[in-house]
Amino acid sequence: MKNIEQKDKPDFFESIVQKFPSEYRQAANRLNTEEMNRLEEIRIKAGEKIIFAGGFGEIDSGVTVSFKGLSLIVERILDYSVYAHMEALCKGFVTVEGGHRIGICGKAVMDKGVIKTIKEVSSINIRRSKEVQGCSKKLCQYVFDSKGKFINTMIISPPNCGKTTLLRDLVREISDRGIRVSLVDERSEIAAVYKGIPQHNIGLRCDVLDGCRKSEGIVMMLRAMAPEVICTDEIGNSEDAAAINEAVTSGIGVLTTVHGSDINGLKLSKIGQLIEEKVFKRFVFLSSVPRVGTINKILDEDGIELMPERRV
Amino acid sequence: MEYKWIVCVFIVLLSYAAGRLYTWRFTLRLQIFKELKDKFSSMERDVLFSLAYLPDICKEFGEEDNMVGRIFKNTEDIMQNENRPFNTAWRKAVEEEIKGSSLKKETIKSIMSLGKGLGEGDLEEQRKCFSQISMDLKKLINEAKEERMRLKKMYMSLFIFAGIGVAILLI
Repeated sequence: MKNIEQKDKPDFFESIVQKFPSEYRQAANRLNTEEMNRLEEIRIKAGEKIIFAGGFGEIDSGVTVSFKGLSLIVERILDYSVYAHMEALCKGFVTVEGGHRIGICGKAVMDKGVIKTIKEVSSINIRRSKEVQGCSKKLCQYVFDSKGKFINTMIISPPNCGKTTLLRDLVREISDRGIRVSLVDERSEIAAVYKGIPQHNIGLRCDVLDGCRKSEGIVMMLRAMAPEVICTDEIGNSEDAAAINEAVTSGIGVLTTVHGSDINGLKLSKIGQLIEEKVFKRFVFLSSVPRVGTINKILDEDGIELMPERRV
Repeated sequence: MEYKWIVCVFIVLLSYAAGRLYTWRFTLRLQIFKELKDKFSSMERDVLFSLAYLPDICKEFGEEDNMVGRIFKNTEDIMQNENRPFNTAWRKAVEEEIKGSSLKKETIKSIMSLGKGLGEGDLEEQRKCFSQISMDLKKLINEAKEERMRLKKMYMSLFIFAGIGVAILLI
C-alpha cells in the first residue's frame, strides 16, 4: 500500500457541491475535513434529506431537497445543457468534470422499446471518482514479457472488486513504458473524458475513444491510431469477441476486463472462444475479500497459476 | 452678407449631421438583430452538431466587446455564479444590457424571449427552439429594416427642413 497514491481531481466539493443551489450547499457543513476526504457518495432523493456516505458510514445532512431543488441540481450538474447528455442519461448515468459519476433515477420515457430520456428525476447518486495510481505495479512482472512487450491480459472478477481501477492504472503503466495505447471507453469510466480532457491519468501515449461501442471502437482505433495495445472494459458479447479477434490477428496486444469468477464459466459465455483459442495469455482474478482490489490468482493460457496469492 | 450665407450653409449642414446621428439608432438596431441572428446560428451549429455546453458557447461569444457580446458574457456569468438556467440568465442579461436603450418595449420583450427552452430537453426540442429563434429574429430584422427605411427618411427630412427653416429666419 505504501507506493499507492490516491488522487482526486478536481476537488470533489468544488466540482459538485458548489453547483448545488445555495440553500443545499450548507448540507456539506455537517462534514468535517476527515469525513470530506473519506466521502464516497452523495445520495439525494426528492423530498428526503441529503445523505453523505463513505468510509465513515452514513451521515444525514439534515437538509431536505424538494423535487424542484433536485431538478435544479441536475440541471446545474448537466451544465444547463441536457441535450449534450442525452445518450448518457438514457443509460442512467452521466460523467462530470473530475470523472465523478451521477446515477439518475426518474421516469423513463420509452420510444419504440428503447429509453429516450429520463424525466421527473426522483433521485440521484453522486459517486466520487478516485484513481489509485500505482495499484498495477505488482502485476507488471506478469503482463510484460522479458522484452517489455505487453501480453494479452484479461482481468476477471464479479462487480465492485476493482477491475476498472486496476485496468486504468495498467493503461497508464503501459503508456508510460513507451507503448502506444488505444482505449475504447464505452461508458466513460476508465479515462472519464470531460470536454475532451481525460480526468484520470492514463499516460501520454494513450488515445481515448469515448462513449463508442466496443466492437466498433476497437476496429476504428485499429485503423485510425496504429496502436500497439488496445484496452477496453467489460467485454461480453460475440461482437466484442470478433473485434478483439481482429485486433489480435493484426498483431495488436489486448487488455480487457470481464465479469465472472472462474475460467470454466467464461468458456461457456459468448466470449468463450477467445479463451479456448488462447487469445489471452494472462487471466487476473480479483476479489473484494479481504478488500477491494485483492488479486486472488493469475493464470496463464494453460491454466497454470503464476502467482499463488497476492494482494495489490 | 457673405458671412450670413456661410452661417446658413453651416446650419443646414449641422442639421443634416444631427439627422444622421439621430437616425443612426435605426441602423444600430438592425445591426444588433443581425449580430444576434449570426450568434444564434453559430450556437445552433455548436449545440446540434458538437453538443457543446451553453455556458461554454456564451463564454466564447462573450469575448467580443459589443452589446451582443456583453449580453452573452453576462448570461454566462449569471449561469455560473447565480446557478440560473439559460432562459433566466438570458432574460436578466438582456434586461441589464438593454435598459436605457432606444429599443421599444415590445422589441426588448422579443429579445428576452429568445432564450426560451434552450438547454432544456433533447436535440429535437433544441432544433425546434432554434427554428423559433430564427423565425423571431427574421421578423425583428424585417421590422427593423422597414422602420429604418420609413423613419430614417422622415427624420432626415425633418432635420434638414428645420435647418433650412432656421437659415431662412436668419436671412
